[in-house]
Amino acid sequence: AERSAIVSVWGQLHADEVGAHAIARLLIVYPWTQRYFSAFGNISSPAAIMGNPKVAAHGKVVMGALEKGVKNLNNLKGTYAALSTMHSEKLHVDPDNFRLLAHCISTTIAMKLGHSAFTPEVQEAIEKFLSAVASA
Amino acid sequence: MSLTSKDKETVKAFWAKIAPRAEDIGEDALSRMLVVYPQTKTYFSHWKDLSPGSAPVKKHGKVVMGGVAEAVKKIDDLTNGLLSLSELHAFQLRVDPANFKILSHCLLVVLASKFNEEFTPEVHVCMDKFLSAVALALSEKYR
Repeated sequence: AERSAIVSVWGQLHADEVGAHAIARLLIVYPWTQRYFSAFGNISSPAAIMGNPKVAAHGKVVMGALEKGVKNLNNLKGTYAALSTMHSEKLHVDPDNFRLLAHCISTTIAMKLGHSAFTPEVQEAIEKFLSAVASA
Repeated sequence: MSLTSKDKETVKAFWAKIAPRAEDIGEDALSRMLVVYPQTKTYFSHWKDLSPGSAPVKKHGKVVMGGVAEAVKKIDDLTNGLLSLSELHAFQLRVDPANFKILSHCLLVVLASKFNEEFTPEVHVCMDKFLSAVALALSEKYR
């Protein structure tokens, strides 16, 4: 049931928009994450972040990667093996940040789907999925 | 990461907008917490019904939001303003403070889903800071 909730929610979202919005929130709500994105140009204010095309592009990249996970729910570890190495050895991202981004994605999906569609059960399925991705 | 006067203004203004639906918000946030983080159910084993929207959950959502309202009023000095609530949580309820983060997250998700125009990133960061400050004040008496 959780798997079908995840697939169904994914179908209802405009992935690129959600991605862009979630990354923007990450950079605004948890400003210390900006340290990973010094190459993005102007991220000095919420307005700059929300309008920054590199932020939006990166949101798209992240959502693309999550979509792979949605399509391969049975093998998240395998799906994310390469990305895992990249995040740890090349990008040196502290894994706690995966949790922060997951919060932002969850909040953004809640905003896009609205209150009646984003039920507690849907929230649970999405957060469980994001947590499994973070582990992988 | 203390609250600036701009943060406090933003919180108060946002609170004024959402206060009429505080009970709904409390009920929804608590329901979500119990479903999404089932380990929190341990604190409510004395309730007959832990399902979303049940009577005990509704009632308790109201209580919790009353506490948040109190915190908004005492936003200039949360530590002292919330002393008795801190004692309650520390000595009687003995809620692990890690759970304050969990409930805060659920509250933010509910606010995002019900107020999607007003819950801008700027409001989001102020509310997140405020709820963290409340959690800190509630943890004051623990040790």
